[in-house]
Amino acid sequence: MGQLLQQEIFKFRHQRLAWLAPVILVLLQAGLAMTAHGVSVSDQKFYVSSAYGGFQWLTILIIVIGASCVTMEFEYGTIKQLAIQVNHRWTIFVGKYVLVLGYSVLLHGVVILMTLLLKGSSGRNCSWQNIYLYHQSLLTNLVTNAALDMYGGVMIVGLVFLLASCSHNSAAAIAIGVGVCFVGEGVSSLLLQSFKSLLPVMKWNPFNMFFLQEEYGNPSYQQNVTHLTIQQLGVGNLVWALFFVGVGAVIFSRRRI
Amino acid sequence: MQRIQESMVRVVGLRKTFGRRTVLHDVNFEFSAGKIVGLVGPNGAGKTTIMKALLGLLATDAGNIRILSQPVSVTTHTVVTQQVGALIERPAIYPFLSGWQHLQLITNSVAQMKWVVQVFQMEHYIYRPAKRYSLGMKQKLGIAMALVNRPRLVILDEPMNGLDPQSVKRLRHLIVQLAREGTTFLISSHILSELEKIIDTVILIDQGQVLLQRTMAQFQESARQSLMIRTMENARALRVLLQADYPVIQRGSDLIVSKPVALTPLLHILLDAHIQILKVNQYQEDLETVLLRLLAERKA
Ligand SMILES: Nc1ncnc2c1ncn2[C@@H]1O[C@H](COP(=O)(O)OP(=O)(O)OP(=O)(O)O)[C@@H](O)[C@H]1O
Ligand SMILES: [Mg+2]
Repeated sequence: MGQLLQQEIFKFRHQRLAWLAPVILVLLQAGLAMTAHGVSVSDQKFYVSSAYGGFQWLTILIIVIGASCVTMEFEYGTIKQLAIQVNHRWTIFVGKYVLVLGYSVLLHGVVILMTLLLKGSSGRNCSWQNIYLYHQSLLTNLVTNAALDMYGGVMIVGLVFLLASCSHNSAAAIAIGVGVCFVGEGVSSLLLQSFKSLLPVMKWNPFNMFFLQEEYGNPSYQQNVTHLTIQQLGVGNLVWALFFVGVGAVIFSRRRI
Repeated sequence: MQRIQESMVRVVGLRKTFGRRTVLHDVNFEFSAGKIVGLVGPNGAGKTTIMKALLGLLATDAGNIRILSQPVSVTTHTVVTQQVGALIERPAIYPFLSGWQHLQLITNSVAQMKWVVQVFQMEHYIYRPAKRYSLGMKQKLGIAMALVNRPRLVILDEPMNGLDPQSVKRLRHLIVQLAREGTTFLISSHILSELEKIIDTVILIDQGQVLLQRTMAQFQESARQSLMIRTMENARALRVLLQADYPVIQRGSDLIVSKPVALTPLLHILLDAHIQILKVNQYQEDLETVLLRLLAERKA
């Protein structure tokens, strides 16, 4: 596994997207920070704690990277060479999953750093020590958000990997992945509103788990939208992640090469 | 010498179906270490499928595959990961990596990487990204990747694809040299004239079945020989030879005797009839002709 991961890292860092992604993120954050220049202090806090939109962009980038990381092996025919090198093909899949999660951690670091810089230059009128949600400081809010976003990524990347191992080109996997992640929440809350009787079961649907980070930012979501506590959302995320990765790995290993 | 006797690959009762179509029926063959084995047959015969099964890339429906006496399947192929190098169908190449980086993915030995780059004369482009390679450059890299680890068994599917004549010749020499040092090769190719120059054994596949497995020595025996004679008076010569019960026909300005015959008595007959001989030539069928004949006979 160690050698496999090393190989994946080697391939990954020679791809342009690996180096481009942080640059794109930083630019997008800076863009939003500029438009947020003259807003009120409470909006200012919101922008800072959500890293100037950095987490949202990061999710899209991770979907793109995750999907292409899996499908490229089939597109280039390199899966044969890989499969010869290991006894169990699912180890390749899991190796890639670990790589993408690791990279997600790195990107979150970049996003937090950039937020610190941007706040230093544009958001002087609210301090890091200012109390924001949950009677915690703004900085704590930011870091908690980052942690929750990273944690949510465990399921999202799992889902994207599952989609990618079913699809024949990365474009399709990316499109469906991004679509699911951004329409999924809407679909879930619509389902929960329409089928009240099925609520006890339906509230555990995977799309509902996307609300993890939002529920932290908007505690009222528990009553109105998700009907699950933060802890329940956390467990749900993990269980679905395991499910997606498990099914994905099986499909990946069975796929004809 | 012990090593030469060792069984390298042993396939027993291999069967593979895609959906309802059976593409390999009861395939059996075996060859020992140090051999160069040619796997030949028409398009769709099942050559690539056999090679994939040997590498544990493909789940099979029945049968037993052993390499160096160790079992090979999709989930157990440690022997493949350690002892086998392969190029299947098209080279496995990431466009964003250079040739050198591809070799780095496979081995840690810089000496072996340098060796393989030098053998295939890839020095002037090995550091360029592979997306800028031509077809033949990619093919050479693919073969280099199969060889760089110096595996004991090398499986090459259509290795001559896109190679220029000079590279084909170099590859041929390299294969023969490595085989002498103990490497075993299983090579599929449609360029029989090239294959014929290097292989020790030929396995003919048709419609998912092994039609025959023979050494080249056995092959040469079964290859038909024929004699071509040109004289000043072909018409009279034909008559004389037919009278002497030779199986002879006229083709263009030549007479063809389509059976191995002793030369001296035949020439005596012509000379005794005072026929002037211009040219005598002995032909032996090549691999291609024999294989095509065998395939045609099977159809009939
Ligand atoms: N993925 C697949 N699904 C269905 N049938 C397949 C698949 N791959 C191969 N086949 C069938 O298996 C048979 C053998 O194919 P294979 O690729 O082994 O032929 P081959 O001998 O390598 O031919 P060629 O000389 O053209 O390379 C063919 O009839 C082909 O149609
Ligand atoms: Mg083939």
